[in-house]
Amino acid sequence: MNKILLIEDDHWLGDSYRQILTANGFDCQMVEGAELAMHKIDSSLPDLIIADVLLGDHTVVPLLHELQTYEDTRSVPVILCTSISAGAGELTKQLHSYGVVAVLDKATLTPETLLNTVREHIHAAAD
Amino acid sequence: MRGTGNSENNDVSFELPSLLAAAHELKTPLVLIRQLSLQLSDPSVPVTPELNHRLRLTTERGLRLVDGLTRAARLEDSLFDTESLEVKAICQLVAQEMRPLACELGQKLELKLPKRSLLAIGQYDLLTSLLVGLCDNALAHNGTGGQVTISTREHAGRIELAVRDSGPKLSHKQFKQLTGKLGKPQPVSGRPRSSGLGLWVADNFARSMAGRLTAQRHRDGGMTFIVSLPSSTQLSLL
Repeated sequence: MNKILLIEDDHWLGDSYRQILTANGFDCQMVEGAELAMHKIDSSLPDLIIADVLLGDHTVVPLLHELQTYEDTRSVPVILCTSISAGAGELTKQLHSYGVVAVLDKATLTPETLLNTVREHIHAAAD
Repeated sequence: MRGTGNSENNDVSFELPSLLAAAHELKTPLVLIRQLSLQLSDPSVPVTPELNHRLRLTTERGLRLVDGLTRAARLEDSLFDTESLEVKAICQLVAQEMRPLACELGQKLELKLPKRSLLAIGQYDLLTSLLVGLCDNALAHNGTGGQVTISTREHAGRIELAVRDSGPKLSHKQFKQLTGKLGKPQPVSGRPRSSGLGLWVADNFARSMAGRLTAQRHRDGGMTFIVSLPSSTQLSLL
């Protein structure tokens, strides 16, 4: 079963994504902050990370930077989910070197889009 | 509540958040409502009573934000009577209203009230909305397992109502930004993740009742927002 780490500080929103992913065959763990995410990653490397951009008192960027500094975490694909929808395509390009493979807009995201994006990038990483 | 030596106080001069920042804050509950309703119609995910409950509580939070903003925008055009308010009863009412949300978020909401009655001069609906808004703000900034404490006391001839959270510790710079002393709040976040919209509304409500809103950050984390209102002397006449 593919392992997904979901980093979302809005507990209810994250829980909704987690339930959809779990119901569709993924092993999805959720944490609410970047520091907890690093602990989770240290104990079990996920196949894919889904992260919010604004996490409590930080953005996700320091975490992305941290992931790029380790050999084993560098290749884990990251999908960002954000409400800051302006320029999502540009953001993906800018953060591509940080392992970001897609940026999803929370305001238009559907369960199908979430699942299709996850499947596409988990399979791409496995190939 | 104040001046305990392990905290930093500041008078608050909350600026009106930019339209962009306010829109972002109002977008948050809408995004969640949309997501929960999509989940409700997803056949692969079981529908639980919890899901409906979350949907209702999120809708109510969104409505409170809009209602507060609307009222604050109309304050200058409206006249209202002030009256003697028994603040302990208002604190109890607000706690009763906000406990279901706190409980659903895995947080505690506590009251610390004196035994004797405290009377302030204000307007019932505005003060209730103000306290509800501060509690909303506190719950949003606490993580799961957090605590919100509502307290009240008489101090220097005024009545203080305080809402303390146990959220992340703010840096001095973040605190100054939050309280508007270093200029405008950050584009998307007054406190991180927030536009400061709720605090701007609360500040306006307090000022319209001849009150003021102050903020205090704590070394062990969290913030306290304190509303200070004129004390009523009605009881001393008895």
